[in-house]
Amino acid sequence: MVDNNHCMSRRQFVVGACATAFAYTTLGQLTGCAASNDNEGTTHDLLTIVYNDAPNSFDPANKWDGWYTSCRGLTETLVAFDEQMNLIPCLSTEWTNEDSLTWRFTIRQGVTFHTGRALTPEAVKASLERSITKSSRAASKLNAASIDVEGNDIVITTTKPVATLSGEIAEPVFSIVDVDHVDSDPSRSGTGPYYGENVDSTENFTLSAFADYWDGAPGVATLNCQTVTDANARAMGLRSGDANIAASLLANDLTALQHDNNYSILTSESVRQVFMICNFANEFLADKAVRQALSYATDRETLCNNLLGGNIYPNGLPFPSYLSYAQAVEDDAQTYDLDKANQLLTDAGYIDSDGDGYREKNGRKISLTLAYYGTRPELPVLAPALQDAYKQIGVEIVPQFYENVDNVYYNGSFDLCLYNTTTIGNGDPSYYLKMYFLSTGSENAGKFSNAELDQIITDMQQNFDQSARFDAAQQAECIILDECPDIFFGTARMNAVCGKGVSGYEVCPVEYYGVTSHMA
Amino acid sequence: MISASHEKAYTSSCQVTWLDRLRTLYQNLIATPITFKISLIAVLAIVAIGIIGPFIVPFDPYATDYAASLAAPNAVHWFGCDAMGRDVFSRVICGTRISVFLSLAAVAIPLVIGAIVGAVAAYAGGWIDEVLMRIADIFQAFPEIILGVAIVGVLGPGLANALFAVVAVMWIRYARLMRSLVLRLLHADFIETARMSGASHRQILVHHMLPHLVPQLLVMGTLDIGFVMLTLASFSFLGLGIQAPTAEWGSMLNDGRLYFASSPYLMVFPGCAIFITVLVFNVFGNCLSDRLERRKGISW
Repeated sequence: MVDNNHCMSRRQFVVGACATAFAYTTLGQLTGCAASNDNEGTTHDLLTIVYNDAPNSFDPANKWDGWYTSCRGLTETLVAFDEQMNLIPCLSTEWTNEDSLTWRFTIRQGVTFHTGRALTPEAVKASLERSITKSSRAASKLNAASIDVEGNDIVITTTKPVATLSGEIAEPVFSIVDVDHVDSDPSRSGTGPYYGENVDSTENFTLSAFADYWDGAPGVATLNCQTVTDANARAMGLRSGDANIAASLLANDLTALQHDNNYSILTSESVRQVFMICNFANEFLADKAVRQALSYATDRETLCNNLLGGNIYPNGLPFPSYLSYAQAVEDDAQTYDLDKANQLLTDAGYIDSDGDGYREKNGRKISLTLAYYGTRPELPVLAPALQDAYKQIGVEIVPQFYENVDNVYYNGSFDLCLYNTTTIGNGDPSYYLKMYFLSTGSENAGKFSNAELDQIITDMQQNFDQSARFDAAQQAECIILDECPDIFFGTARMNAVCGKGVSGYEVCPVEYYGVTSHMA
Repeated sequence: MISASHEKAYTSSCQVTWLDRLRTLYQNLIATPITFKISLIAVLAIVAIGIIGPFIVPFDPYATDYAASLAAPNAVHWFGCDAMGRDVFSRVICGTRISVFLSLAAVAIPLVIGAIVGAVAAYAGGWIDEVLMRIADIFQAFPEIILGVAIVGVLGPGLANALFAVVAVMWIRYARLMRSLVLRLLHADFIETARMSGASHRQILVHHMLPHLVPQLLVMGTLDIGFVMLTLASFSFLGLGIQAPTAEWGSMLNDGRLYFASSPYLMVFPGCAIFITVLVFNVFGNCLSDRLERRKGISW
């Protein structure tokens, strides 16, 4: 038998539910107001930053990991770049080029590693020698015969003239670390404003402010760095308040945020070019007519301005068009001409004989795989658009997404590969030319080879006359544009969005930098 | 030994049974509740859209127009346009053919395979039954969606591989259902009568047992269409199923994910298409199941 004395009536239930809902709503509003009022105009104790990709390790000498450790404020180099890509002092206060083979760097006083050890010329020598030993790219950049200590200076003697050494050494692969601790605790062996503590993941980790940082203790005590490869998820994290700073957002998200006073958008013309590498091992791509046809079938203006919302500045050149040596060859830039693309293929004997919409030659259909990855937000958007674009000239494109494109890039297991890379990482055109277009270049995955170009690039690196190097760069560009080993789309724009009240994060043309000690 | 004339006469009597059953089904349809009729009409409408949709859509679902990139729904493009300027409404309609018919095939194939395996296992018994059911146990040890993703991941993305993955995970349930149904009928009076009358194993299975089993198999298959459709859409959403630029609801969800915050309609409309279709087939399957239960007095 039910005891109705303790049962709630229907009216009581409704009144109680409404009262509870009202109370929660009011409490939530008051809490939200109080929280937002507290955050305005004050320094944050904790900032969460979401990035588009993560390093393999915290060892700056390991592959490209130094770019990440530098960007996240863990490590620093002897010299750095400013927002105009001029070299500025960092751990070295000044440097001189004594002769064609000798460079002298004066080490800054009063700098301490995260381990507590003082930065000395001996420690710098040991760190540089470690980078050269561990990284073949570092070794080929410096061509160092010896690194000696003379008082407070280190003297680098090269085996052959390296005209751009001061810029080369600004690349974070030459980040200065405490060599006695970097192998055991790489996140706590640099000189940057932040260090890692008990870090066990390179994708999501927490950094603590380094109180003894040489440029002043950082204002933000803790940084929470997270890797979110999906650009949309990064934007949503920023909107929800889970993140205070989000890097590399898509154009449509930037457009939505730019009218919102709760966010500040940081942008910069970058030195990154977006391009598509042709693998010369493929029988069709070994044919210059096919490569040129693909180039002529690429409508860069529409792809960059309409599809990508202006996040890429369209140009058909190997270098950003604001550089003098790029402007000098603008007349030879890759352009869009669909009729010419079709004519090139027809003249080369590629005909659609079976009426399926794709051309064949010697009974083989032109079908090319297009490898791409997701850490650069524009590439997954470009891939299907290129599939559609090249269908118009009878070339079948099969897009293939890779979480880590290195798996296919370095062993050449692709036909075409969408890529996004820094072109003047050392402030000089030789950086990009040497890595991607020299026959023995470390990043020449398409195995492009041109003897004349090889000689130009080799001579460039040993010429201390900047104007002569820029002239050589123009000659190199003409060969590249004629041979068409890559199809160029344009120059990426760097961006980062900060939440309300967040300041001090840097966005530079070259993405070696981001976290600073001035963040608040 | 059964004579050919005896078998022919015996088979003729079974054909009369099939025609009577179809006639009875039609009469039952007339007398069915409104829910069943509505769901049946909806199913037929979806199938019809899948057949004639590509011929009546206002725009070519694969034609790009970058000037209309990410256009919001308007009078011209009712569902808006995607990043490449393709009309979303046309792509949703054309996606019906692939999403629905592929799902129907992904149910029909494992249903037939599973029914054969289950019937053979139950009817033959002994070591054949043990071996077949242990193979089913191995497949069933893995969660269906995980096993499907693993198979497609190994074979590579594409329509054929996605279909194979679905078949590989779905046949088990039909095999077990068929086995249990056959076991229940194996010693029924009418089967024993047929056996004593000299009917062959094939005649017993096909002419006596199958008419009693097909309705239940069809009901289960209809109920599974929604699950299969979601599985195939999940594969495409993960980039493992239908590849670009084919218009398919799951791949449209994946493409729209990048623009969810600024252009949510790119996910909303294909998502609604999946929701409505799955709902319609589930309601239809439930109505079929109710009809079968009332007619047979069977509880599942």
